[in-house]
Amino acid sequence: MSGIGVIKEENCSGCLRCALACSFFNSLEREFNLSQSKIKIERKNGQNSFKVSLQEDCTGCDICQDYCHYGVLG
Amino acid sequence: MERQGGYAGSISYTDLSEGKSVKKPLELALRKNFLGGAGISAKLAYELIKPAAAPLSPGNVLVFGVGPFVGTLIPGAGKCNITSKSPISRLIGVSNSGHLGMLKFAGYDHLVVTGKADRPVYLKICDDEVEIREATHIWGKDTWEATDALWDELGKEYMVLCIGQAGENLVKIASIIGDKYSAFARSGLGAIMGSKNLKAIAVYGTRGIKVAEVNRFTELLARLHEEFMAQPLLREWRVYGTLLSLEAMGKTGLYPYKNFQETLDIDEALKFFNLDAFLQIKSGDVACLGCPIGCKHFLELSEGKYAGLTLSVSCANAAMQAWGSYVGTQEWEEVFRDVELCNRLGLDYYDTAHLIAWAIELYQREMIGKKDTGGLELNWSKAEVIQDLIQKIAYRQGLGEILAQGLLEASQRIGRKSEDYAVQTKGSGCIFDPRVRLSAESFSQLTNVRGHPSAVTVTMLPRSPGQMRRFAERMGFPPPEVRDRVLTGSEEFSPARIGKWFEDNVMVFDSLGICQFAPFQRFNLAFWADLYSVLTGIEMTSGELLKAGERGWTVKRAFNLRESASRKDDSLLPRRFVREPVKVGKEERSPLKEENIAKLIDEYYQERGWNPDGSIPGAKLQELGLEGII
Repeated sequence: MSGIGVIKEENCSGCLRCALACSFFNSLEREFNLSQSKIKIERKNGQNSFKVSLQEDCTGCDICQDYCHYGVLG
Repeated sequence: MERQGGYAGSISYTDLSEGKSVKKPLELALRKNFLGGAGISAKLAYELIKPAAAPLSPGNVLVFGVGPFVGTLIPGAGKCNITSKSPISRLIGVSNSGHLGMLKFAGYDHLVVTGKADRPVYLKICDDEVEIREATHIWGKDTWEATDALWDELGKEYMVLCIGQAGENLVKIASIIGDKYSAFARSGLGAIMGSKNLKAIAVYGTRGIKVAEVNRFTELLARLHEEFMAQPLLREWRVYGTLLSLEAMGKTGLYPYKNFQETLDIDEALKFFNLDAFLQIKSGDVACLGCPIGCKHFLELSEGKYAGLTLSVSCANAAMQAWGSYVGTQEWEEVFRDVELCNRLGLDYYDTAHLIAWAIELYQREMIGKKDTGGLELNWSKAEVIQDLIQKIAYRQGLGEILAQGLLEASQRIGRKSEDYAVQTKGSGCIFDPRVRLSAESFSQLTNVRGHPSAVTVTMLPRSPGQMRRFAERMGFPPPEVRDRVLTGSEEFSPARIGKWFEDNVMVFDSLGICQFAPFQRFNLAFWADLYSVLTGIEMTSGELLKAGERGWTVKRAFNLRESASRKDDSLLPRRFVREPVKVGKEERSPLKEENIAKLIDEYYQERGWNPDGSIPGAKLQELGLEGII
């Protein structure tokens, strides 16, 4: 499991770069596929606030942190 | 064929009259010649919308497009497009926004919607399933209520595009709102959706986007990433978004005030309209798909009249321009209350503010009175009056019934020379005042296919010697062979000639799916062409990329010419611009001279390779491979 975690969920802008990176770099086929990402960005109620969670089968590669520019992960 | 990538590979054709959907492949010729997004949408619109089709009839077609760069980690690649025939101008209608990328993950580059449903419906798109579903339970709801209802019904992973009551009521300036804030605002596209009884489109997908040459793509992506993140001011672009330009634009006189009668005194306005006050209500950053900047804002008003209001806003500068300058100045809380109303009701806030500013001026001049306004006294900067009119427009009540027709028709209905005060081109309110500054964007309001310019450019603000040449070198356009004739004048650009090149570049960006925001305008076309080649597997040079942009633009022009547009439509200057001077600070700027503008239009047509009457010669069509096609 990853050494990183969600440290500032409230910073999430909903850009989905983490999910794009996870699916691309962790797929044999190298495909961008949001549904295959091991980091999930889910909309909370209201206006564009998000819940960020690492799935159980996350491999711990930390690539999501490399592609998040909002300081959500650390 | 070699490995392909970038594109989802399909178009969904959904006919609301027949109640059917068909999935067809996205042809290679379309990809090569028009790239994607706005370019392919333009071509499809030209093919599918019959000449003289009424914009709010079942014969109009809505074309939704998402370019090959979208959904691929290319920074800023979230921009999507909708093209149709506009009820405002009865010419081509186009709007772009950062909120439709999920369509690619459902397996589609384009969605084409034709016909009209016999009752309110919404489209649910999930991979191969495109369902036409009942929407009577959400018809009549505003965009926030309807989107929440669909999220409850389908799941919050769905991206939802929705119209509000304005679209349902066929208000000509109605917008389409994505996920409660991201607007496809221009050209009255919301009214077109309403005319089809189409309340919303909800999309989710589990498909992947491939890459043709993975190793090379990954290298280019890493390089782009490194160069991009090394740019100065990225943090400021995020924190302030488009408000970063507030002071520079204000000092240049770029905020038209009270319906273009004056320019906003920025020093006065900054006393209450300042960035510190804005940051008090900003509580987070919001981003389009794939964007590392996040220039949009999540706002929470915790005190004052609207305590408890939360909303997201895309372009805070546009909000301030519309609701803090066109209609007079207002405090930030009133500006964002107006934004909330427009987002909920589904109204383009630029054109809505224009209409209200125009109505206020007519009232001030006693050209309309209380019998026209239902007893309402119209005055500048009066929040309750402005909000009342926004609602009246959305519901077509009282004066709102006339304003809902857009500036062109509303002024025809009121008569009494009211058209002299309507500051519009092709029916859409002007954003820039060419008396203040003749830039590529202020000029292109005349010649642009939809009126309002497609993007801001570096010519918006004053340029010092050498800057434009360095810009051309860095960006790779205009190409070297034309620079001596295009980069002329005191600031080294001809607004008309460089306007053509910016339009073509905008078309490239809107077709690939890249944002126009300033930090993304700093990369050479050759780089984007390389990225396109390794992503899609289709070889493309920078010259071919720019040519594809020109091709897409030309198709839009051809659409308009087929609807009997001509040089006359490009030459219709708002009367205010030719009759009245305007002050920027203490300095008076003269009205425009029509003969000077006519010369600029000549130059623009020459640069485009068009005839002096604005038509497109056969030789140009042949050069673009459009002979026999348009």
